[in-house]
Amino acid sequence: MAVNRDITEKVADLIKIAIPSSEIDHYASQLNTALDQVDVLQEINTESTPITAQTHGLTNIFGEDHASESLDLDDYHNNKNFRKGYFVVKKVI
Amino acid sequence: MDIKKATIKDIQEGLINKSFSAKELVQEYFHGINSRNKTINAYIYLDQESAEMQAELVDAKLKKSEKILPLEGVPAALKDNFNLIGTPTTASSNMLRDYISPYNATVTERLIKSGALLLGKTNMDAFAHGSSTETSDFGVTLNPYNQEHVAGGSSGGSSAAVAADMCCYAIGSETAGSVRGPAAWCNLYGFAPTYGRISRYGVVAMGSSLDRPGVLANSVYDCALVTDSVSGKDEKDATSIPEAETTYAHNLKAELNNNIKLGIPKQFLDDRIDSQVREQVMQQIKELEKKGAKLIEIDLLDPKYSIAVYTIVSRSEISSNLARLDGIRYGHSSEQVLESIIEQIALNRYEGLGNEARQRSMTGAYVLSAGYYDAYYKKAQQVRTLIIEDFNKAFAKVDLIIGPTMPSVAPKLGVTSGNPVFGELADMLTEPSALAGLPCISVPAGFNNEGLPIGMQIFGPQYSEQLVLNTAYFYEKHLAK
Repeated sequence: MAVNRDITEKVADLIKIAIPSSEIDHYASQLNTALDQVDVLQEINTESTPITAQTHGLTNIFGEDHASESLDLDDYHNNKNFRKGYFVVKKVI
Repeated sequence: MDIKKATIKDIQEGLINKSFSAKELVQEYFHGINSRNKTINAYIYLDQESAEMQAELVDAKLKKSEKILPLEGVPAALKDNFNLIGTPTTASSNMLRDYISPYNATVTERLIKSGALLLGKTNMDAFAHGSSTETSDFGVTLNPYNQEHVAGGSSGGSSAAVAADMCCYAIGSETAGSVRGPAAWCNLYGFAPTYGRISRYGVVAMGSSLDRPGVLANSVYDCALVTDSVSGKDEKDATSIPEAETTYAHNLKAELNNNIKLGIPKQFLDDRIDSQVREQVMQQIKELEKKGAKLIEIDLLDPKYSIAVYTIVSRSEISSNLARLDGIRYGHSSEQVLESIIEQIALNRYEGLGNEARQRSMTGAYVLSAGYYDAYYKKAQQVRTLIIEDFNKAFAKVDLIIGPTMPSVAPKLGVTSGNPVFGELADMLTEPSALAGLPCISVPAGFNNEGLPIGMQIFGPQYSEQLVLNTAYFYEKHLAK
């Protein structure tokens, strides 16, 4: 199915990337190329095939819920938005 | 001192015999880095001072005749998607250009515990999205064998650093063929063990069901030794295999198992593969036959299905993994201040992510969205099952599978321009085994007419690392040119 401008804008909004209007056609074209490439899967019958999400058979891993050593806040100091023990962010409300 | 194509063994012998000191060795590598890195662009971060300080500690130990650790004193490089405390971990992206690691990846931690002497961090395709390093926001890495060609990717900085003698070995990672591919194009050994054998904790995530760290080196022994140093269960990675660390190097034998059966997939040698690559790899395979291997032609699912499954699965996982990059807590934040937090995040992401990350994230979001999920993502996961079953059937007949690593030699610079699916197409021969999480090695198989390296891959069932490595070791000792 061909991806048009509207769908491309919708996808950009879903994934929260502010693609300018002038670039929507470019990304629509790239999306279509990628989707054309995966169309071949329709040739394969998978009616009774189970899915694979993980290749070596592990399922859920449970652990004890206990406190353990965390990252040292002193090691954050080089990050430019971390000051005096806080993450400094832009005003958001 | 001659560091050309030096192995870990060569270097440690030199250190123990006092042929050179660790500090002299580091200076020698930096001499090469200072003269070649500006052009090749293998490293994007270097710390000579820290490397020399580490070397002085090694020299002090050697002076007291203390035993040194398996990787101690050996100069190495780390791909820039592995966190190393106090250094930038950018994944070669503008989004993380200012990010300083506050912790170590498990691989980094284990390397350090084994004495690794890290010189710096290497260039890669941004977020590992590509097979050429041309998507890096830090510029492309050139192929040391011909600077008009790419070094490969995504671990192209790691492969070029080893190939141009700017380190002894390097850590890379692959989601499809990002260790094997650049190893093939730079005439190196590139090894990626079974998915889960090496922890992914602290590695900038791309496709979480596929990502696996690996090693690029000048010898099979080095690949085995470094893997042994970093492998094993990790509580911080729930998908790590629940087994202790490995002893591949100790058990390495340059032998072909009795009547070993090597499967040659006919789909890996058809006309989609460059003719010189085909001929050269077949010639090497025939040499293995002369040494006692039994060759069996096998029929696998066409790689076009793996390309499609890989495109859907990896891009879906990319869209999810990269969603955390909002430029609020860390990462690129726009100079422009917007009223709405959502709009601010979207602008930060637009500015911080390059074309490749944007389009891969968008594809992922599309195929995961309501209404398309069954047709794309679920379908791809089902065909992934069929690819695994296909390999299981093949491994009932053969011990290992062998063939070209890449469909061509390293292409000229500019190859990705205008091709939004270059990475997935270039990795067509590594995607099937990556989707099944199989242990794989690429070994040097000679050169084409223009002097560009050709790689040959050998892979086996899950957990067959020792057989894969032993066979590659035999090849290295008896047949590699």
